[in-house]
Amino acid sequence: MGNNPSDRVEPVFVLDAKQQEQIRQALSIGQNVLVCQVKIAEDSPMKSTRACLIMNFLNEWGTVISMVPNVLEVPTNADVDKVAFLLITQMSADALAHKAQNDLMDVNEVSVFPYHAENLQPQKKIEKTDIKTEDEEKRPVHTVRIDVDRLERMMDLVGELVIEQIRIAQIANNLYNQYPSDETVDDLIGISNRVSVLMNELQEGIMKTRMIPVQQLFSRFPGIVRDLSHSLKKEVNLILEGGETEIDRTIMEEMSDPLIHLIRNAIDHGIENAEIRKQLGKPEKGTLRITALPQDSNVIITVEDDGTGMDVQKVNNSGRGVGMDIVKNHVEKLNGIIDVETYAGTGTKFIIKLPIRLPLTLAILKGLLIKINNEIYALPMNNVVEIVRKSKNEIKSISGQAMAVIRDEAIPLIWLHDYFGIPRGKERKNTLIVVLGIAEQRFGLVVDELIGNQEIVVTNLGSYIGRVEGISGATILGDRSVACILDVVGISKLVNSKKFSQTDEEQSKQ
Amino acid sequence: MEKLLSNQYVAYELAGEKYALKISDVYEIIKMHNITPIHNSKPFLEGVINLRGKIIPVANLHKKFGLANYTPTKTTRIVVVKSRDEMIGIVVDKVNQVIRFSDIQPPPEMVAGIDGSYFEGIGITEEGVISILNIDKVLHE
Repeated sequence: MGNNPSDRVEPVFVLDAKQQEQIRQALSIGQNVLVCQVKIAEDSPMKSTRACLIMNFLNEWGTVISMVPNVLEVPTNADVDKVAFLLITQMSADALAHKAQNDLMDVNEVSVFPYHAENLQPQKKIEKTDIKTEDEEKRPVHTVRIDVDRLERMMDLVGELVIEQIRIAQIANNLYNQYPSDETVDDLIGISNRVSVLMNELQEGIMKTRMIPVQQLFSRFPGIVRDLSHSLKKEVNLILEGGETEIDRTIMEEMSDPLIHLIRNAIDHGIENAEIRKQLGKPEKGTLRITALPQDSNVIITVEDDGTGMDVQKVNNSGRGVGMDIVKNHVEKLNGIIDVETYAGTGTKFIIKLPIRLPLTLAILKGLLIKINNEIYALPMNNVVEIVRKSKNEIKSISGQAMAVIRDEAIPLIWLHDYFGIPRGKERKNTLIVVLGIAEQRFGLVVDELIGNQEIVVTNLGSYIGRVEGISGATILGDRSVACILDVVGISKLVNSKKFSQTDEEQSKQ
Repeated sequence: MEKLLSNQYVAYELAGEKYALKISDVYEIIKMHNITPIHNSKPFLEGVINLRGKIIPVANLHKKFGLANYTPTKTTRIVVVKSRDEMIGIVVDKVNQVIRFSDIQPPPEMVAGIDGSYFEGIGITEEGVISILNIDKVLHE
């Protein structure tokens, strides 16, 4: 009785790949994998039921992942006398044996001993290095692999649904204007609003299916760091944090190269070799810390080393500057912001702020519809800072550039009328200005009318039209007409060319 | 069949002059739409329209060929062609009919003041001759 090794006839568990993986994971995080062999008393009625109860008991102390024979499959009246359970638990073999002997009824013999993990199929050996990966997935996740094309197709369909929904809402409004007292129209408006809410949820849901944990990107870094630190003969301790942070897959793919570039930089130029570090009184092993942290609708990714720090002057004149341009371009393309903190001798920290979800490049965005002369355009709501009216004498010409003071800040103004070659609207008492923002820049777009904001579905103009400066795409409005979407980055560049930034007076002089 | 099809042409008018397009190039003929202008793009791009949920460009061949510009009337149509895998509309003043030519002759160097290389040939009918457009060339060059 008990834990006497001589009693042991090790049962053979047939384990599939998933069970084997469970065991490996359990062992890797320091849990015990135990075999618990039980002999059910000769006179116990319904032995298989007893066996099930034992399984339930064991499941309170751990997880039974396999058993021989499988008591769930044998008929209830079958004669089961000896059952072996394979169990993952925090408890030691002795503690579990003690517990089982005291708490189990109708049991003659209990023996508990560690499972021989070497019975497992050999698996690709995981190299043990001094690289530490935190936040490894510990819980099993139920997932479905899905072709990205299918997701894209779903996004497209949602886009089309949104268009139709907008049309329904518009028609409902038209009907309401025609038949204000008709209850059926009220119902229609109610349903239309409800559909709109559901649509938002559907959109949100589909957007979420595109999100994947940053861990998938992080998991590539240990190998890269190991190879680099070997070839450069430096010792680097890599710390990854926040791998569970979720981000749109496209954004993650886009960020892969820039991050690898930053890692290379940090190890190549940042972290010193062990000898120098020793002389400097730093730990011989350098530390490279990469973190991802969600913040509102953004994710903050930091890459931080405790190396020499950067000489900004030197960076601008060296090859490192070119590489950094690539990083900057990728981040800008994603509508993100990058900051660098560097301290001579103590290290460098890159702080990258990215949207968690995709920006303009994909399907749907909140747009502000405006009129320039009598043409309708859409502005991405994300870039709209505020909308103000300024009287004529509040708009000043400063060396040929029209400016308005908005919230104590002098904001340059732009008339797209001039850029598009269409007449400026007739002079009004007040000028309507949409203040737009991109990165740190602010400027005011003079518009003739505000129509309102709505979800718009972005379509690119196709390869025949190609790139048009100042326009990022087009969208179909509720009345089936087409409106162009203004490209805020493109327009912001017009600020410097004074041709489109003259006050009405200056302009009419010419 | 293919050969027969390629022998059929859609005849239409630009500023009073008759032109033809291979019927296999024509995707659809629709009534004049409101065209949303795209400023600062190709010089003869009229703008874009919504063709049943798809946004497609519309070209102005009047401008391209230096003809008097069109004014929308009851007969104005947009002929949607498929050129290099993309749908593109062309504003025409009138669509006449589907015709066959008894003979097609190579284009001269100039056709009514327009570069002859824009044409595939000159089609001969009983009522007269009609210039056949090489639509890919006209739209892309």
